[in-house]
Amino acid sequence: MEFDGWTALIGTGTVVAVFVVVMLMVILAVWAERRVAAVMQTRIGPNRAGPFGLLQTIADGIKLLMKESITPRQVDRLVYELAPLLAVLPAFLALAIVPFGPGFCIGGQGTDCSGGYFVDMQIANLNVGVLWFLSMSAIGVYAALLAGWGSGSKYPLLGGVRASAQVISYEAALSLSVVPVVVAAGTLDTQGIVLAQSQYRWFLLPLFIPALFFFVAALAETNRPPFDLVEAESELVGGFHTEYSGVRFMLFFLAEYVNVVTISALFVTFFLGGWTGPYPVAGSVNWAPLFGAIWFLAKTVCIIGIFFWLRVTLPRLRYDQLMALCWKRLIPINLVYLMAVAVWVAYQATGDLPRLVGGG
Amino acid sequence: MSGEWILYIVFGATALVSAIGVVFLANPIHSALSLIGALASVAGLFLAQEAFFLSVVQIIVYTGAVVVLFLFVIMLLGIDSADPREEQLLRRQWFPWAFLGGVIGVGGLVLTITGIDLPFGVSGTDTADAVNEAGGNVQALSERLFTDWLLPFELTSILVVAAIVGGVVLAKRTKDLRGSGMGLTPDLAERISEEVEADAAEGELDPEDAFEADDVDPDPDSDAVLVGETSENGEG
Repeated sequence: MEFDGWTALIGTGTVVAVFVVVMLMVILAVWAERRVAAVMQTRIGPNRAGPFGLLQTIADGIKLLMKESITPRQVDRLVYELAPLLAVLPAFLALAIVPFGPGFCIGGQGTDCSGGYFVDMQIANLNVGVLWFLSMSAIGVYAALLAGWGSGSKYPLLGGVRASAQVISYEAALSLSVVPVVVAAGTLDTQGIVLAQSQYRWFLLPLFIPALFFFVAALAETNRPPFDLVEAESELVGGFHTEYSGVRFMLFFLAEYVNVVTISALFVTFFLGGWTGPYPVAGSVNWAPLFGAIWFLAKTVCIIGIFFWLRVTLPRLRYDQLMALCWKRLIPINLVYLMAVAVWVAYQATGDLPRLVGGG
Repeated sequence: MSGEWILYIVFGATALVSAIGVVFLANPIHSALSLIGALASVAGLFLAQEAFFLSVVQIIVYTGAVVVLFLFVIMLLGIDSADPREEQLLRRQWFPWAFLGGVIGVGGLVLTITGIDLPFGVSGTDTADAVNEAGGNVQALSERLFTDWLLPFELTSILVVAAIVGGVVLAKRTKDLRGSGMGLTPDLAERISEEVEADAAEGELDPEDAFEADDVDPDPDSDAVLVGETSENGEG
């Protein structure tokens, strides 16, 4: 394909579309979380702004934009300003590899779409997509670490150190629970992982333990309850963002919810068959991409719902319990499971089990 | 001008500027931040060469893990409070080695630019076409790694395992001394307590310092509303 104006336009359009969809999901997620929590705790929840309080998030956003961003005297100016940006940037960049649906062809002929333009329903179709996501969540650590240190006060520093230790540890667990998916699908490409699960061969059942561990690690990675020790109010005031207010606080808040959406979308991609669904069977109808996106978003919303549900029901873990869970349970069990999956895949490929397990 | 050339200039320039920053910035945290910039720029350079795997791994390993640990150590041990005389001594001790490293680095650079072939080392045979034929970066790289270079690969992993075991042994030894000072070695615990006392004498750790009068909201109720609305307390 030649690089021309249309290619650039399609690329820009994809970016804008993904951004708009995700921002809408974030705005609704913040509202839905408070309503769901209210129902579970037999309260009413926000119901004033707009129908059912739907506009509450927008009202809060405007309020935060109008408020003064207080900069405490003792901050390290550069680091303090940089931290919220480093929170938002990787959160959005990680979205680049989420496949929202099957690609489709505009104006072209045949399966290779000759003479037309092939539109991927994802921003970047990288052949190292999974690693891209892991590298972006690795960069996400800096937000908490730098916010904690740059604030120049004690609670944020403690919160920042806690956050980074937690995120680094759970990142190992998260990566290890993605590896069985990569081994089973035989590719690091997210679109390829979805295609490997077509016709209901979802990885959720054969890879149930990695799926469960991925979800637990995702909760910890996004600092969601019951792993929100980072901002344990009773111990740390607000954690690493104690000294942030106004727009800068909003950026941290936004980054957290974008991360929740991204990681739920990736859970769907890795374990729930991505955009595949009961109708239509791939490519049989012109509207396949639209249906793909609908299935994908529906599954993602369900996963986000579980995030809310767990948040209301579970008490916060203690710090040593958090670390013990990661290093003594998730990682070793994942390693054993990974070996089993690798042996199984190799057996499927070669049909020679005795030699694989060292028998002869 | 091709896209690759533009990317090369942009990332090369940021890599150079951040690398200079690492050396010349006074605050070690700023130096570490600069190092992140330099390493990320190198990842960008790899990206411009279509070495996607290398680029992403560069970010995961160096930016995501190594520099985080640097920052951890700097933040928790507070290197900026070092004694200037001690620093002078360290500088004098390490100067010959740093000089040697610099000479080797510059020499390697000159050899690379002039294109002189060395008797050791490998010149790559994997052209862009060969990589594409193998099905991409990951496939080409893994095939090389697990056939031609299996022995060096395994030796490296043995090295890593040895480092992990060493780390565990060191951590275990300090844990045994828990009774003598919160899991620290006795002389380190003593040094920390001395520093804390010195800081307290200078008023650096005075808790009153952190809370200036204008930071405190005079109306406690409005503060409570703020918490309910903006934090995720679930009160909304």
